[in-house]
Amino acid sequence: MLRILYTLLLPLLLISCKKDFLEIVPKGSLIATTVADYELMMNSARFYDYDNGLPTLVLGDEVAAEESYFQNAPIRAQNAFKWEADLYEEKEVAWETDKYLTNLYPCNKIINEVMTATDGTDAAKRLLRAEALATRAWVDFQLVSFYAKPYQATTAATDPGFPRILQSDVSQKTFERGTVQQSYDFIIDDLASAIKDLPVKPLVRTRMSKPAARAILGKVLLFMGRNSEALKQFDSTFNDLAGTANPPALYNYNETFAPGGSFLPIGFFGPNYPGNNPDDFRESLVAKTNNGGSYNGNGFGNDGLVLSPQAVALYSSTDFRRQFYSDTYEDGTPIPGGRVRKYALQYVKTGMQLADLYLLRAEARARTNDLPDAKADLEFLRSNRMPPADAVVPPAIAGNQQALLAFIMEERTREFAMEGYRWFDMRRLSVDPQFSGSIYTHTIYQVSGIPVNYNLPSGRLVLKIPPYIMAANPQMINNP
Amino acid sequence: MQKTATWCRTIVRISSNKRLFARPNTKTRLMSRLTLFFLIVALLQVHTTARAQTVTISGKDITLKKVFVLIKDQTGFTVFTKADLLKKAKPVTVDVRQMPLRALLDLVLNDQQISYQISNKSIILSRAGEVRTPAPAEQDKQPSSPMFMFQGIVSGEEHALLVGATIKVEGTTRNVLTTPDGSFSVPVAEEEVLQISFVGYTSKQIRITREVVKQMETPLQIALQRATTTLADVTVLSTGYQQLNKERASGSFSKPDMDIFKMRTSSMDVMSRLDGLVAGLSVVAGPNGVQNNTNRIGGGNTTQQAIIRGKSSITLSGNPLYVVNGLPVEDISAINLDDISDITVLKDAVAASIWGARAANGIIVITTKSGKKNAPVKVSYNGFINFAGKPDMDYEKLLTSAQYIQTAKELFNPTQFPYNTLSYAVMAPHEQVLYDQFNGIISKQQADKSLDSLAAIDNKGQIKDIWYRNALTTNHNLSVSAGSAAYSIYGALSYTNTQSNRPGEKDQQFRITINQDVNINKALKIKLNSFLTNQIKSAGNNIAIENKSLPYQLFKDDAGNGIQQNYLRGYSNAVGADYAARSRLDLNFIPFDERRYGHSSSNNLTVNITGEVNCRLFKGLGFTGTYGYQKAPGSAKNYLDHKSFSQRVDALAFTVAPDVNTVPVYYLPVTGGTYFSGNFDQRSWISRNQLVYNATVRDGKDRLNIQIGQEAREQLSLSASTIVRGYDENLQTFAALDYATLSQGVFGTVSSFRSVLNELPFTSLEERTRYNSYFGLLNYFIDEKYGIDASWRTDHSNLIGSDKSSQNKPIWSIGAKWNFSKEKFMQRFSWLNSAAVRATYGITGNSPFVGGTALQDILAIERGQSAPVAGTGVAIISPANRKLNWESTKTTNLGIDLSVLKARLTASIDVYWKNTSDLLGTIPLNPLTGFRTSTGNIGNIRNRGIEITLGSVNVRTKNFEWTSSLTFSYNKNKLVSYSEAFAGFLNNAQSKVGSTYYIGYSMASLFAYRYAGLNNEGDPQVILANGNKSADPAAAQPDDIVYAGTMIPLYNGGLMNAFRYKGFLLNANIVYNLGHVMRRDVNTMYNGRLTGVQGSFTGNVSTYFSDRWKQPGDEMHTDIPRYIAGEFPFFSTRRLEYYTQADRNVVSASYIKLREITLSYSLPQSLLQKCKLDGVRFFVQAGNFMIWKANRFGIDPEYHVLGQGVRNLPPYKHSFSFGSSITF
Repeated sequence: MLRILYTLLLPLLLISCKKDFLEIVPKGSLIATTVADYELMMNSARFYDYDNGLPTLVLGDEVAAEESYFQNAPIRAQNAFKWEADLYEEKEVAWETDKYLTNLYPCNKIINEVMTATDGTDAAKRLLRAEALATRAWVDFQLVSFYAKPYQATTAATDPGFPRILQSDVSQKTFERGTVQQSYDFIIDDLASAIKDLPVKPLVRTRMSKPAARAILGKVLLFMGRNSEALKQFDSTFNDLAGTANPPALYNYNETFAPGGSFLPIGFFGPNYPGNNPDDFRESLVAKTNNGGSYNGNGFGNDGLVLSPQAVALYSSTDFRRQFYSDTYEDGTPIPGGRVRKYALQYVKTGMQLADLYLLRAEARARTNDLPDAKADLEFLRSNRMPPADAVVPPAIAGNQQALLAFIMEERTREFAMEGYRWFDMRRLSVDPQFSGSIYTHTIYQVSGIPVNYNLPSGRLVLKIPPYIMAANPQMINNP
Repeated sequence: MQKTATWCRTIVRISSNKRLFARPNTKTRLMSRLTLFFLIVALLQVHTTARAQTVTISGKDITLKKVFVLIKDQTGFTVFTKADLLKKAKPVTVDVRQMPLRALLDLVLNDQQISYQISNKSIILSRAGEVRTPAPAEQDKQPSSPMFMFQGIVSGEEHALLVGATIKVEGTTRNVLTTPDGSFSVPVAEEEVLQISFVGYTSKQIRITREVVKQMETPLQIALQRATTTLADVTVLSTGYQQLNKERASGSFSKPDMDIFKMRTSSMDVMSRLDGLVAGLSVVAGPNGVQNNTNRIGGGNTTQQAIIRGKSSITLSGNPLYVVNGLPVEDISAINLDDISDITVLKDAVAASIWGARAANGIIVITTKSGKKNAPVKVSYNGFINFAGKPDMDYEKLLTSAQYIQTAKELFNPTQFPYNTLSYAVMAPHEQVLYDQFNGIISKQQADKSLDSLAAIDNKGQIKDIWYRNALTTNHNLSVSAGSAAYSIYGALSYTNTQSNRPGEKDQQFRITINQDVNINKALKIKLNSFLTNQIKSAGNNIAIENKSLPYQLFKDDAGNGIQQNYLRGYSNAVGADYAARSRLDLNFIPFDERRYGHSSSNNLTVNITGEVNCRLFKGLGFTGTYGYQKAPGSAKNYLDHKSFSQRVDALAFTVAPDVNTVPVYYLPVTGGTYFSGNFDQRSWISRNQLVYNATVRDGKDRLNIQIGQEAREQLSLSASTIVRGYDENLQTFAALDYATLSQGVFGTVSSFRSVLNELPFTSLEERTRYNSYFGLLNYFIDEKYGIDASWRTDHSNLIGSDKSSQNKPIWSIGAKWNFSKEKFMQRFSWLNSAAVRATYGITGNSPFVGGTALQDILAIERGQSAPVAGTGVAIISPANRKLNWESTKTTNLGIDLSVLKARLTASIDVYWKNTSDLLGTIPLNPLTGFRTSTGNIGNIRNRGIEITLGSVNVRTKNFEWTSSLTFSYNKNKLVSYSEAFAGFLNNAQSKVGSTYYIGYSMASLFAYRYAGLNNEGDPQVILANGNKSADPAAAQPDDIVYAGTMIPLYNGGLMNAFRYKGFLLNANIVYNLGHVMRRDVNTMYNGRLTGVQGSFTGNVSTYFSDRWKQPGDEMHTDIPRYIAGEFPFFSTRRLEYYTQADRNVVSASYIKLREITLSYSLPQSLLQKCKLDGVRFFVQAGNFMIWKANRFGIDPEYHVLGQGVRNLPPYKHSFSFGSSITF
């Protein structure tokens, strides 16, 4: 009878086995519950290590193309160079969109969830939330700069924007584009809330900080034409930086290119400078790295691209930034026509660079008619890029607001040529009366030597939303 | 001792010329039921003349045999006995006159341990105490004809003697069991019928004819046939949860012919051996079907893929669930094939759904051998050698050296490919000659001479000699079994040595099996099955080389030294010289030497223990507990010396040496080697507790079986691996690397601007799956005619993301059976032995893989960079997806089983409808959510099919038998719906032509462009849906794509024929796969240079290239597009797929193969007895003969990538084996 009892009990024991028998989280995986978990999320390399090349590499007017090499570039790069409306085939994933959209999901998750996380102080939670907000704003700013018209106060309320994505929810089906005004308001709101809680010094340079968020906010405001507000942000940024240990600093090329300098020796891909080292964050307020070299399978590349003769002419002979260019093709044969190729560029830093900050503040100062301070910012940057004697802004320019602004734009090209910055400048300048009406031309230098020119069609400063997004959102109206 | 009778004094004269022994009647007779008898007997003639029942005998030391001859002469009474009984008996000295028979027998048999019975005109002798005397009541029913003692020996497969077989005299209560030596004796009379039966074997009837009586000198050898689906009478089915009598089962079960299974020595894989033997089970033969087992973490083995009743999933494994001794196992390859006693394939819902969420792909239930109760020690040996040889290098038609050189000359284009642009490219020897000539370095004569000498070389011989050897598999298996009443044991030792066709590789498997049964008392039984498998493999640093290397490239010179092939490095000699000078490393590449520079080994152990406790609680109610534990630890080691080319290339990339005068800085070690060591472990346990209730209802007319139970299961996989560099195998030391620096990149190395080492020196993984299930089973059988089966089960699993509420959906089935041949009105059809119809309906499930989807956002550590610059981060690998379900399959099955003409012809036909819903698959998401795809329940698949199994005994004579069996299955499947996958951007022509499934079409579908031939520029043209032709690469739209068929055979099965003549058995087994399609192999060379490939031994092209379009007008007689030297394939002005994926290049993949032909010979019993052996069999076998194939391109579809149109090189042409099995 005992036997019977025992055998009857045995299954009962097992049936009533622990309720959490099935509640196990696989090793190597994590479900975010604690603040530390969200902290690890914010540290994801996906927020700073974008291995795609952006279309902006090809779109700026400072580049030209050499047919013999450019014909091997990806077809979308050729389309982009010719400023065609459609860059992509139907099924293609646009990496520049995808990589940024991929960032929004974890940002939204952190923003919406971290305040209820366990095991952490309120301050730690607010900090993470602020980082996520600033990161979301930065991503949204990139997207709105690709796919919406440049900000113009008069039309912003009606121009279609880019959808504001607020939830981490894969089941969401429909999204509305909203307006440019809504998009910018959203970005500014996010940055403003973030700045309150961000630390002055970031944990690492890949993470957001108060000065980084302020600089981004300043850039957004400047791009909107709100110059004095922008200037306030830039000034605060410099104040913040001044108060921190080891803030971002410019490389002084006079030193780094001097014998024994850290950029030397110059190898097959040029000097060892941040453009060749994805992990060199010395000049970054917040580091975000894209591919800047030849096509690597994701997005775009600089295959077959050279600096246009007009852009080459912007460099003085003593400008060390000229060292990043080669006058030969990859195989060593000379590039005809004096054109040069930026061979020292494997990585493009697209977050917020200190050089950009100096140029943006110089611009804001110039636009608010503070020409001497604008000149000072410019010359500070230039004196780190060339012998100080050559860094001086000529007085004729320095004393004239319009000329100084034009000089600043040229300096932007000198600093960021072939890095994709120019496209965003072209966009915002198109609504700036001083610069509007410019005609932009791309030239393909054929093997025969005959150049073929492509002019930027009006309206093409706005990219079409890629077809793979449109296919899922047929209710959206695409850009023309 | 002598016996002297004094009662009578007359001395009997023994007639010396009397024929004491008559020859047996040797005239061959057809005996319908007794074809396998060995009739090596001499027997006494039977006289039926009546004589007086007194006897007169006188003699000294006369044998009992003589005594009985005299008795027969004088009385007509014939003696029946075992031959040895009389031989062993002591001689007697008698002197009696007119002595009554019984008195005489008492006299001579006294003190002989022999007892006798007299019945009519027969004297039946037996060893004292052996005969079960008929019950008193039966005495009355004794037949009128004389009774005698019938003696026999019952054996089963491989001549194993069957202990405990039942021998029953029909229409009487006389019945006996066979003794431990398989023998029996039972009193019978003429015209009575013996029924011999044994569980798992087909029963046999023997009618006692005059002839049988005449031959009754020695015991009759009676061989029983293993019950199979084709010749089934009483078949035991195992579902893993219960044993069923096939007579009473409504589900769709199949069993393979185990004799063919056992002898199919061309493979050591369970699934390959089942090919063609089971209707509804299609084994994907060849490399297409080779699957790593589900163990993602490592240490696993391969199993051939099998599909039961069509593909019913898109993303999940289509493999059936393997069950061994009642418990599921992941790695079927660990089991010893010789231990398998029985396989049951469960196909429909009633058969399979007790396995719940893992049942949808069907189940293969394997039972291993166990010892027999009350059996003497029995030892068996099986062994074979299988010879497969080397691959057939001529299987694919490639350019010969002469053709290759000629083509290279034609294509040579120094303008398109300037020499100076090729510094970092492969420059094959023939190209170097052409460029040297072009650049004026050598003269035309010199160039021609060099090229001619290359054209005269054929490297196939060297490839076969150096890189291949003859493949050989040897297998030995020794088993022992024994048993007493309370305990039985089966043990086996097995050794398999697989010699692959690659020199230096070793693969040995050792297996031990011990299966024990203990009857503790009447109520408690314990079964313990355990096996251990150890596989030890090792290999040198072999180079992957097949048939496509540059045809003139030799590997060693006449002196036996390796030949340099530096051009495969992918840079010019000038660059190589610079690299070598700066790095001070030897950068020569000599493939022949590479094999010495590394070695790898692995050692995997599998231990599996299952125990079963059976306990009778009350009458009819019992408890069954099944508990299993499996552990499969394994380790792998791999060492690659710094002398190996790949190690030197690695080192070069991390060597900083700006010029030849600078001492190089090596960031990676340049001594020792790279040593990888990995350890894997798999642990799983299962616990199942069942309450079983068996009862007979309505006075035994009905049978009832109810079971309920609970089951918990866990599977855990672990792995850890380490890599060290600069490892010294003797000192066991390694170099300390600065991984932080290496992972962030070393600038300005010899071969690279920035070299990054993303190596993880240590990794570890852990994966755990748990299930908890409840189930119930019901079988009710009425009057041996009507049966009902039902099952119910729920499964819960930790597979993250499966919402507990959606898991609660139970899985169930119900089925009915009607044995209509047992109905009264069917009795007049005497030719019909048995007939039944079956109908079932039910649900089976298929569960998602671990981590396949998530209830919450699942984060994982980002790997890849060993030291991410900002420290460890986590990313979302699986976004929350809360509405996922098991794939659920509803199956309706109708079946009919027939057996006619005394089971000479059997047939079993099943028709099924299988609808799978909630298909798991990748669903596209709105990309604005941040994820493009996710796993979801997205559609339905429908499978329909027919399965037929036929068995027939075509000819059956005493010495000759010809039996055939045919399996046939037809399956048609269709993706009925697939909710969102084809919406939006996936829906373009290129995606559609490459997709393997599409709404409204079969799974594994093949789509094609409609080919319109070439235009007059040699570019392929497509026919659009509107009938227009176009060569425009953007012309084709989804609607222009046509469906070309499925890659899964619509019809498949096997035809097995067995011819037996005396001890000889010839088996010829054919498999067929029909109705499916494949892309044929086409030309692949359309642009670029004709040269080698960096680091790879390929570069030769098919002879199709020679037939390409070359000039306008060629389009009239060729389909092969032109060659364009400077084409950039990604944005060409033509679309080559119009040709390569054209409907014209989709051909039938149907074929019929003679899987194997086997001749075996079993030694006759007479010889065996002399040698004291129970059975000896030898066989020779040859396999893999193509009987017919539908394609005319010489393609063997088993060795073809059907969807891509790529030929794989078959590892061998035919396999040959011979082997033996001995039982004693």
